[in-house]
Amino acid sequence: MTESQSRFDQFSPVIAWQAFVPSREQPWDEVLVAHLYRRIGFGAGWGTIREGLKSSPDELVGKLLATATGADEPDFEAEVTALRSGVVKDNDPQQAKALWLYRMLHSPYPLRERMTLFWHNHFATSNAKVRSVRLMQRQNDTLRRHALGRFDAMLSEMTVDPAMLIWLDSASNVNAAPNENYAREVMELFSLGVGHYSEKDIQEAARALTGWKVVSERAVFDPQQFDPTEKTVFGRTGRWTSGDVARLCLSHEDCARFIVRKVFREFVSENGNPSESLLDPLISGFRTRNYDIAWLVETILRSNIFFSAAAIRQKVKSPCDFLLGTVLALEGRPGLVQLAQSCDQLGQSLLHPPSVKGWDGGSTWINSSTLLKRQNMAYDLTHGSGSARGTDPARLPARYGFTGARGLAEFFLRLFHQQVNPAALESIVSQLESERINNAAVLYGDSSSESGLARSAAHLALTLPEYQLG
Amino acid sequence: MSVFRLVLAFLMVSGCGRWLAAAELAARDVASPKMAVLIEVNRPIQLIDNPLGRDVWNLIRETNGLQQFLASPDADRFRQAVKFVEKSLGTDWQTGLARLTAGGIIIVVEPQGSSAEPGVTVVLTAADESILKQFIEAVQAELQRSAAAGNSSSGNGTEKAQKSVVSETKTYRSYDCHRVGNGWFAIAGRQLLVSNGQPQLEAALDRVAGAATAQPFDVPASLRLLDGAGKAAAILITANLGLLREDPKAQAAFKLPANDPIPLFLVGGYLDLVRRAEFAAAGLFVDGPAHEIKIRFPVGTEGAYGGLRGYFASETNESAPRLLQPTGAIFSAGWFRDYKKLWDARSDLLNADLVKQLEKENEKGKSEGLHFGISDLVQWIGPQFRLVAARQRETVYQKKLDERLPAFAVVIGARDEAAVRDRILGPIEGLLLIAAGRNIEDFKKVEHRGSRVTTFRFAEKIAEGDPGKAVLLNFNPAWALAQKQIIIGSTAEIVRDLIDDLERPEAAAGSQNERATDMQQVSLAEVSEFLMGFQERFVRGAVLEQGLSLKDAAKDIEVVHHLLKRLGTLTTSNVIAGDHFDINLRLGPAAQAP
Amino acid sequence: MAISRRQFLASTSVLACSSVASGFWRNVALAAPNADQPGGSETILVVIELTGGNDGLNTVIPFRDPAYAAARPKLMQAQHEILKVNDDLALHPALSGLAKMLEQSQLAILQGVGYPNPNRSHFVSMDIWQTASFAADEPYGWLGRGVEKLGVAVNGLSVGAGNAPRALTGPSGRAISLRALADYELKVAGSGSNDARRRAVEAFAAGESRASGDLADLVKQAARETYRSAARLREVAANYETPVKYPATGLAGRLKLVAQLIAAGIPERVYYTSLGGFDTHADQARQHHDLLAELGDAIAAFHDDLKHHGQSKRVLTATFSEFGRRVKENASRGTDHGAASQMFVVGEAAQAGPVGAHPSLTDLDDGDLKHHTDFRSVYAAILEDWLHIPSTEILGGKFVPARFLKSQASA
Repeated sequence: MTESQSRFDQFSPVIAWQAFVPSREQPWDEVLVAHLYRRIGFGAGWGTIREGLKSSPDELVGKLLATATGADEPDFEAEVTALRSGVVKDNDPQQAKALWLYRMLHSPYPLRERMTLFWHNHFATSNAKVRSVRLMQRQNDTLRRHALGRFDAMLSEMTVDPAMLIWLDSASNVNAAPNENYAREVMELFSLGVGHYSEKDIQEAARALTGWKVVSERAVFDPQQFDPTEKTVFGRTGRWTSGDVARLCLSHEDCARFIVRKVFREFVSENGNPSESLLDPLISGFRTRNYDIAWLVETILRSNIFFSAAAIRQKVKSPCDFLLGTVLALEGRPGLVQLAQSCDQLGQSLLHPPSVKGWDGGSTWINSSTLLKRQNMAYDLTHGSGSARGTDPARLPARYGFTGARGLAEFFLRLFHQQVNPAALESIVSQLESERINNAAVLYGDSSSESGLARSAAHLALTLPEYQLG
Repeated sequence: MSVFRLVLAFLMVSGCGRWLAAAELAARDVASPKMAVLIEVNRPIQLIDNPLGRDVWNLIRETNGLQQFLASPDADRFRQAVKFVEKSLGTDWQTGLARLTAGGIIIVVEPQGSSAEPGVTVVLTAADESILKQFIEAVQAELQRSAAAGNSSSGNGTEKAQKSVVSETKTYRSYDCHRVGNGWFAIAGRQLLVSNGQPQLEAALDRVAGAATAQPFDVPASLRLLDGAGKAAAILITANLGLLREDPKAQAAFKLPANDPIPLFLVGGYLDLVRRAEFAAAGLFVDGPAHEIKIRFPVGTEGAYGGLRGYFASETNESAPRLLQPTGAIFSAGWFRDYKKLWDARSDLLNADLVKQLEKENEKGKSEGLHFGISDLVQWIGPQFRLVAARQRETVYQKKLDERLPAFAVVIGARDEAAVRDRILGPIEGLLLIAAGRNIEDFKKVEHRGSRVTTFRFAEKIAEGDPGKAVLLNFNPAWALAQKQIIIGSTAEIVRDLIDDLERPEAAAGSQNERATDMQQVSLAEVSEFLMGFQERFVRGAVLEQGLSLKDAAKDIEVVHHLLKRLGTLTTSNVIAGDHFDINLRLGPAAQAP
Repeated sequence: MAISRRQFLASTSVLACSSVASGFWRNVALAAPNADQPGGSETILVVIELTGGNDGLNTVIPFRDPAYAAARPKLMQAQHEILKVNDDLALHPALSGLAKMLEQSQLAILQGVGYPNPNRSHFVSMDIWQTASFAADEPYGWLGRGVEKLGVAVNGLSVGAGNAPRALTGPSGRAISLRALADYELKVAGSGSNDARRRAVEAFAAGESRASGDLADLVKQAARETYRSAARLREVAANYETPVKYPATGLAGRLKLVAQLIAAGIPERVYYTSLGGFDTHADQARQHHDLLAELGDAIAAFHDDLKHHGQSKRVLTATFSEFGRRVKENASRGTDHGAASQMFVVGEAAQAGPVGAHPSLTDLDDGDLKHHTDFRSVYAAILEDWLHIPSTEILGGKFVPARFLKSQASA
């Protein structure tokens, strides 16, 4: 039994999902607050975490959730709309990525953005084939609309989303040659997972999905191309249409399980496999509440297991998590087009997933090549000159009252890791002291030297391997 | 009392003896006929501290970009330099710098053959000896300190130890010469002499001591540029064109008759000037709220290559036409070029093969197609040409584009209006109607102030199928003949505006000596208005690419607008006389009437 | 649960630091073998994965068969353009590089390769090919398993963006994947303290961390490997020279990198790279043509380069795809997932020409070609007769090695 397995087993299924209440063994401290902000959004800065400590876990989660599921914040939406029309007109995918990063960084509802990204990975569609920023934006809006809504509504709408149809070669799905590929993906990847269907189910479902095509960037149903005969899917026979396909998949008993496992992996842990019994309360709850995603996410975020060692730092940071988390911690304003490029290089090209399977995530984000790039990007974000001016860490420590080599080292270790590793602390302090001596030789005045040390301390703190875990 | 005075006089003479006997170096003392460039900065502090510079600084100081720059390590070098100056001179940096460079800076660059580095000699004249000594001592101390620090921190072996500095000191003619890196410097009175070659330093010291053998070198008097009020330039650069002519690629360009018609017709006259002039000079003048640059070649129409007589204006022909300024003019240019004279001199200007080719083209043009050739064309049009770009105000189309291109027009002098109307414009109109067919509509001729304007527009639906063709909705071409000028414009609006403008009287041709030969003017305020049309794009770029907030982006764009308005107008006018050719550039408010 | 197939790390146990160093680093630490001793130098396998399901029928074409033209009215290749191999078979016009290899007697075309009960899901079928196993959660690949079963270091290096494939994964972890040598520089700044800062960063990976568990160890492991191989790889790139002009395509670039590493004497046995885009459901003609051109030209340049550096006897290149495509083209001028297809084997050690008959175009398995050679026989041949490792335990059964190597003919 692996360590992760044993951590899950500490919780009985009932206790696991009950709301967390701080205790002496598990107090409400910056570790938990930072963990919450990392999972419910992409991260937070020092000040935000201090503020968060002042509320109880219940209040804080409630506050963050209320904003996410509430009405749109009109000012922010107006800003984004103004930018968006220009991006769509130019049909520029790089700017489209940058615009989404803008949302992720500045939205008053980071949870909604995180869920949109999750569903983008689930219904993975790549602009590489769709080649239309307008269609990708529309799909993105659809995902955002349903991100914390109901999965059944989302699945039906996505089944006939124009970008999706083009991506899965269903831009012309004709009666004479139904698109099996499309039916397969709807079942295998969007609703049930591998193996819970037969080849026959796929062939029949493909016939039910015929008749849709994309004309002038709109999905249009052509009854002439639709196969109106009877089809048998999952043992049920009828003159099924595309709407029925979604319904049939949802009624399959494996659908809730498939989705719940994915959401668990996203919010709790990528390490280890939770048992059926542990997930059962969630699965049955999700089903009985008609696939209410908001309920599922809220239950997880309030739970005991979420605020425990079974979840904290049990995920590998995706490129978005890594880059946005660092930017938020540094309270910076980087160039977003370049940030999108960095995200691409780390293997997560927004709006361009590698295949309909999406990004595997987890440990696949880390290999020698990407890890080196992450270390280099940590340097790029903190060195303060050129394009890094927007994310310069130089002023942060002083703002929160930390000075001196030891103070700087402690500040950045706590900012990025919440826990200070004594060996790392000593190593950084000695490195800073030697840099101070070198710098004093060429610089006049102490303020620029202190800035230089702050940048070094931030860089070093970011290169600790455990920073890659979120 | 008289004894005291005698003693005082003796002391003065002996104590200042060295000072009296030593000449202070001026530019002519360090220049030589073999030099490549001579740079004289007469009032260095004026380059930094002037009205235009101050206004620009005040405006950009508020921008996000500059604030970030100042906070970043990139600005550290400047801050360190400033702090160093203040610490070593004991005053704020403006005063310190002013005193340190009060007498100006002279720089001479002299090539030493193709293998060696060119020799650079610098003479810095301070307000007085003491401040110079103070500064030099501080520099020497700083170099010692950083060399020591570099040595101590380079223990890991990958950094090269800094070269030990100030390693040698010699004495030459009772002046101490110090080596720093691979350069030498010496102090003579209130002047600092620096050079990267020992011989050059010694030659300069010879002159200081009055023992120089070579004569001082004076550039032609006409190159000692002064501005309109007789003031000297803030910075004056004199370049030796003789060196340029030695380069084989340049020689190919100068060759006449030429082998390549295009550079000849585009810049042939200018190349001819460069070919004939030994030296040229450029001076920067600070004129109140504006800046001016004057570049002078000390050769003019006299002695020009015969075939190129038509290239520039001269006292025997007209000069450049007055600049046209229709409403919203962003850019306006006018120039003189007598293509007829150039065509007549074609066998002098081009090699035999090219001439034959051109004549063949000419015959072909006369016999086919529109039935006129080059020789006819140059007879009918010229020699005055104008080009104008202005903001579009109205549009004839239903669909209004967000980002509109400016309207353009060319205005060409017509020597033979009837020929132009009947032989060129008439046939072209016919061809156009046939070729464009359904794509154009509303082809009509309207009267405007007695001139007939022919215009058409593109079919509105042309952009429906192909968004790339939407750019055509910026144009509704038009042309007219007015006041012996052919006007061809991208919109009917600009053609009408130009007809109005042409009604104004032409200015006088200028003095008998100097004739304006070409002029340009860019109104930066109008450029700023034009750019407003692209505001959405700039804001989006600032937010997505630079990471600014929307508010900051809007604020920065405001600053750019104010900046452009403050800079006013950029005007260029080139004038030619018998013995010189000047290029005058002016950047600042209130355009100068040419 | 099928999902765990994709979550490899969840089921493997993590070994202690010392043995976790990937085979790559271990090999890098060894001295390079002496290349001009054929007995002493080890053989190398280069695997090119054609991702998406290559249309074998249009790659090696049975042009005389009337069923071909009947099944592919729009996609059939013109008679005057195809590159004839013999009287019945021809290569796609874009494969001039491979035709050149055939002329040099260095190309073997293995026909009708597949496996029973073909699976037409990309992910499942690719896993089958990579693990040589039909088990749902097999964590190790056919090349990585060598370590587990026999303690033999058949460690591989994957070249390209993204992670190393399952095929190379063994108990010691994932193989290293390398995109470009220039990527391997750790950026540090500093006035005169470059190396000190780099050492500090590298030291973090070696020390104890507070985070514990599989993921933390994974990250630290990755960090250690990264820093070490960075140093070594920087040396490799420094002085590489070749007269061969590689085409400017992605695959050619990756194979050039492999050639550099081979010439530098890094003792990896297996190099793996992939070329994607073969999933041509619609408008196949242009895309397939471009991909095959990239494949053929890159392989030809690669083997040319190896010859120039005297390495050509040691290296064998093999291509495979997770399945072929249906015989009959679909309504979108493309083809859908199929079953059996062919593999190319390139190198001086390969026999020249087709191996095995082309599957029948009329006797089909639900519209797909029937295989006659199990892909595990091909693997057996590669493992036993090229890499010299016994194959039975690795493949989970005895498979008679397919015969396509020159050495097998004389044996």
